[in-house]
Amino acid sequence: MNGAAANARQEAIDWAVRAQDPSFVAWEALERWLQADPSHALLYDQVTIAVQEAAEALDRGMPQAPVVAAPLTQRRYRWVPLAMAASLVAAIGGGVWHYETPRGPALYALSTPAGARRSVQLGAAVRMELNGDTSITLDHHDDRFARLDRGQALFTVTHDPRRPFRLQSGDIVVTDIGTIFDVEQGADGTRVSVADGEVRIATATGSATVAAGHAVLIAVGATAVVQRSLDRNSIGAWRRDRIDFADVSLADLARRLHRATGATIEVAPDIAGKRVSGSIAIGADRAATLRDLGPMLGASVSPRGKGWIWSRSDGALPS
Amino acid sequence: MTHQGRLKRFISIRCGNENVDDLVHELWLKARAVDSPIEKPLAYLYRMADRLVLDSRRGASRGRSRDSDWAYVHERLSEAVEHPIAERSLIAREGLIAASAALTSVSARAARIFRRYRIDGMEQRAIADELGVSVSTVEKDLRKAYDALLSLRERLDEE
Repeated sequence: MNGAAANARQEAIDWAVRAQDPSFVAWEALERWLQADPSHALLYDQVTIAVQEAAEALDRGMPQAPVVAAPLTQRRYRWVPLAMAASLVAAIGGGVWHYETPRGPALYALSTPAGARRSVQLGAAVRMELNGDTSITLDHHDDRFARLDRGQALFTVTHDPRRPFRLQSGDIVVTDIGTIFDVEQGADGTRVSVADGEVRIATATGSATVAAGHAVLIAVGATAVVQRSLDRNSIGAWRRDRIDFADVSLADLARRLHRATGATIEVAPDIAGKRVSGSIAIGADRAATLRDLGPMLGASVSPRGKGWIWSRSDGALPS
Repeated sequence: MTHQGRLKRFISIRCGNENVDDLVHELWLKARAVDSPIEKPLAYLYRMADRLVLDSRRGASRGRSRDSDWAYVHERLSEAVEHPIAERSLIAREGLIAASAALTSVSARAARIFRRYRIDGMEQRAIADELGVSVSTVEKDLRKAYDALLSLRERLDEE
């Protein structure tokens, strides 16, 4: 789009914003702008139509779709709208969610280096398993709370209805309802996979319930989630040196391998977004496992420094 | 120029020469049906005309592209659906989600402001008061929100 066209587009947006205010009175000025160039009326139409249709769709809203019970071996993708829970929206001010404890929170952090794993018992009812390159914040005064700051962890929780366990990741809060669930932060958002029981996920703009055998990806900056059914055995497979992945980007996969092995993997920008699916068993010889990934990924794997670089498989390395 | 003349001119600028007389006529019918006194009658008539033109233009553009927009979203964003779920409601649901995602990708505040403005019909000044921000902040968020929704539609129209 050239400069003049970009200007006209922005002007159309500005006029549409102003003219739709109930107090707007400058209609003659709007007319003059509309007449100034043939493209203006068209652009104004496009903006106002796009905005009107979006507003009507949002206003109608949609009832929350029932989770489609699917055989667990199939992998399918469903868009699921989040129900608006007004009281929940009010409750999540963006700050950390704590129960009222008499002494207030006393936070501390645990972390693991890449390639290592750690199992932590949090009070009687919560067991956490932390993957590599993971950092988690806990509260000495509240053993029903954790905040995932980085990485991936799997939680096995004994449900207590009076004090559900809450896991915070960014501005998402996952509340258990007697569960085993896995939370992973990645480049494209936060994934929550439920192996047993149910969790409730709340974000700034809505909430949803996720049941066993399902996972959601809460994309960064969006209310939209992709919900899919998956093999329960694949949840937490990272604890057994196996990485199962379905439609993840190479950048994300590189990050998961880093957590699992400690190896640094650089991904060339032109393939970083490429989506792949598969399963990697990390053998005792980690270097061999990483070296042989090329054919599965459809990329070229080469050593770089102490780590690896993945690039387009016609062989041209970025400079 | 009389009110009628000005509004006719406004409508014909927006619509080219299609339907102008029909729309003017419709506008007059609606205007006569209004019972209560109107503070700024000319502005009110313009707003009503603007709305009529919008509805008319939507009908025209929909005639051209049919269900293609949201059907396209449906294809891009989901794998093959196995059950014959009610297509229209699925497509509409995805339209809702695409629009909602576009807005919150600007910011949660912009999404909230958009709702107050376009769905609840609040003035920018009142929204600014409610959120405790300046009117210019509200206006900037609205511009970004409108830009995001326009971009969404432009992407769909490209295919």
